[in-house]
Amino acid sequence: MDTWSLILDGWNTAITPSNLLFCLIGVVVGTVIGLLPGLGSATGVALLLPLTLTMEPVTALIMLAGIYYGSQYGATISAVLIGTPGDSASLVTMFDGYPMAQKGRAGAALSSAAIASFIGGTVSLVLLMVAMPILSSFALKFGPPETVALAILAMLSVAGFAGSSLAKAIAMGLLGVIIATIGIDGQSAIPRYTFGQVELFGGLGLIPVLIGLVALAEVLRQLNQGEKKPLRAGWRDMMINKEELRRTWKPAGRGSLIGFFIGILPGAGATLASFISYEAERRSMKNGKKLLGTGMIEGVAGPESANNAAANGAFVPMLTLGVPGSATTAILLGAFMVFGVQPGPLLLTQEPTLVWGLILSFWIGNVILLVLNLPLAPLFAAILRFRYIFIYPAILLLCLAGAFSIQNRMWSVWIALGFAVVGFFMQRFSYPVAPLILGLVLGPLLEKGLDRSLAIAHGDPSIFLTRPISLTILILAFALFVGPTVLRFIRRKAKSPSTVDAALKSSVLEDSE
Amino acid sequence: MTMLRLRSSFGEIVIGTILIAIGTVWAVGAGGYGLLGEGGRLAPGTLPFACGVALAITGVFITAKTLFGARIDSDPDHELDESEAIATAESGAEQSAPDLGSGASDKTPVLTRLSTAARIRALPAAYPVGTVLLFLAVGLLLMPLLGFAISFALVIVAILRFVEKQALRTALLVGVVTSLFGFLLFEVLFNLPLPEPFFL
Repeated sequence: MDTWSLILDGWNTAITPSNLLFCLIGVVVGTVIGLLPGLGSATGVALLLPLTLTMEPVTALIMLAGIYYGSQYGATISAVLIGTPGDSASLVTMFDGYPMAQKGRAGAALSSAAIASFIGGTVSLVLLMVAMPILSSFALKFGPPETVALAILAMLSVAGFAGSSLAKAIAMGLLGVIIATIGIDGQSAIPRYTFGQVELFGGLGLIPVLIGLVALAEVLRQLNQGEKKPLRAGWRDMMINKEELRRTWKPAGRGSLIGFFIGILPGAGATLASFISYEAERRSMKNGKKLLGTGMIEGVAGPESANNAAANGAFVPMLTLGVPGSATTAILLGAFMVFGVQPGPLLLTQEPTLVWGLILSFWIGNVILLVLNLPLAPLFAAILRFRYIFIYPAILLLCLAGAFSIQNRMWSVWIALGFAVVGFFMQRFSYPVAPLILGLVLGPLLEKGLDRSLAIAHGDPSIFLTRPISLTILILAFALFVGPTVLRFIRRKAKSPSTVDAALKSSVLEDSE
Repeated sequence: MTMLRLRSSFGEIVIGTILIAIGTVWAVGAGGYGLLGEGGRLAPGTLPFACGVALAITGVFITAKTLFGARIDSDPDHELDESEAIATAESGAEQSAPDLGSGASDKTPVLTRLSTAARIRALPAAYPVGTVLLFLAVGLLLMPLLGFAISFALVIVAILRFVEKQALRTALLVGVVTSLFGFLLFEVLFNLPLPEPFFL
């Protein structure tokens, strides 16, 4: 079957009534979650993953992907209306979106963001459709040593972009791998670190740990925090005018390309893409340095298209190589595994309908987002008028009931609660969550790959350096790990802070992405 | 300012020490599973040993950096001037997440002026995170007995009443509505069973 027939099959899967319905639910729920400050896409996906357990894998993944990009748009609504980004990727949108709202152009900012997100989603989808088969055929040359190199690349690149403290990021990545070693060893069937407890034989479980670490910890963090009053945006105020629409296209186009190519790099993520796009707009505008930040629509359109395109781009390494590039894609990778689907080089050959169905559902989700958000943004924004004390009981409910539902045992709920405390203190002392999640997801993959590689090489570890692909990936990993540190050093010498610098600083926020 | 830094440093040292402890336990425990496999393969203890040792070393680094004055959290690019530092510390104190004892810094002086009964009543709001965790833990203990819906409703009522200081009627309403929503969502819509009370 040629690629186009497979894509057509995927399209037919994506447009079945149930898949369309769950795509819509995912996008709407994602938008609502995303606009609650602090609750990013990672929280949304972790929170609602248990609800998808009884669904068909493709339907569940379509809904989870809908939550992913829905929450990114939701985060934009709160960034524009109350100057509090719901997600780190929307931080840049706030720089011009919030001033626009203060000038009475909240609607134009939100509409421009919706249009730019749609352009970003569409352009990146086309690129994704071209890149996927090429990368998949290339990825077929990958053996266990290359898998190990990729796992190292993903973990080191995320650690390299981990913001304020490299040591903390490394510690969290290691802790993730350590937690993943609890339970029966996949290779030898020996129970490890179970201390005689039968409950621990199956490990701590990925989802309860994620629920605790990401969602419950966020509730604890937000307890009794001050709430900002939203600006009220009327229906007439929501309309974008012709001039604003004209100024949206070009930044959106630039942002889409930047976003996609940044998004496919493991560890870089949507936040960095949006910062780089903002920097590009600053350079391309006349008086950009002075004007951006005062409420310019270009400062909304560029970063918004970039973060949406990056979200799609992040699926390339995840689907073709099985390597997630961010906390959210790591959780989604976990979701794939829960449904018995193993992302990697063989996925496109083994599950073409699922892959293309999922990818095309991204575009459908973007259409839904556009149609919903142009007229309904004020309605979504009304949720921000609820006090947080009436919202977090529902979040607690989803966390506790979700943790229980995974295996129908209270043990999982206790694990979630325990990791909520861990996650709370991690946030309190600026320990990034993303490396821990990656370590947790990639730990077993790394161990299995190491075991097989060493078995092939009869115990000779130089196998990782003698195979060209593995060596190239390891060099890339090293460059991505050392790069940000060197960049920081050079910039410190030059003493000229830029917005990309700010992206690196704020990428500790990337955890919530 | 100094107190803030001392508390933060103490926390950093405690977490660094915990990392060292976890790393050491893992590395030592790995010895029991074998460190070298047969035929060049990986033994069950190889990866935990390597990660345990690396974690302990990273923990030592973090602790040492805190102890010897280097700023682990700070950005090397940006040296704060004094006024900026004070502003940052103040806004940090206002905006930072409430920790288990966060209320203690600004609410303890008020608490000491209260009677014992009033002090006990004021505790949940002064220590919100600790209290919510306690309520959640009690709720989880009750779940096998009372079932999910009743236990969860009780937890929400307790949180809203004692931590958020809401009227009992509001707390009851939110508790019951949330529990009902949970029942409909999980049990009815998605067919995911939740713990039932012993009497059903």
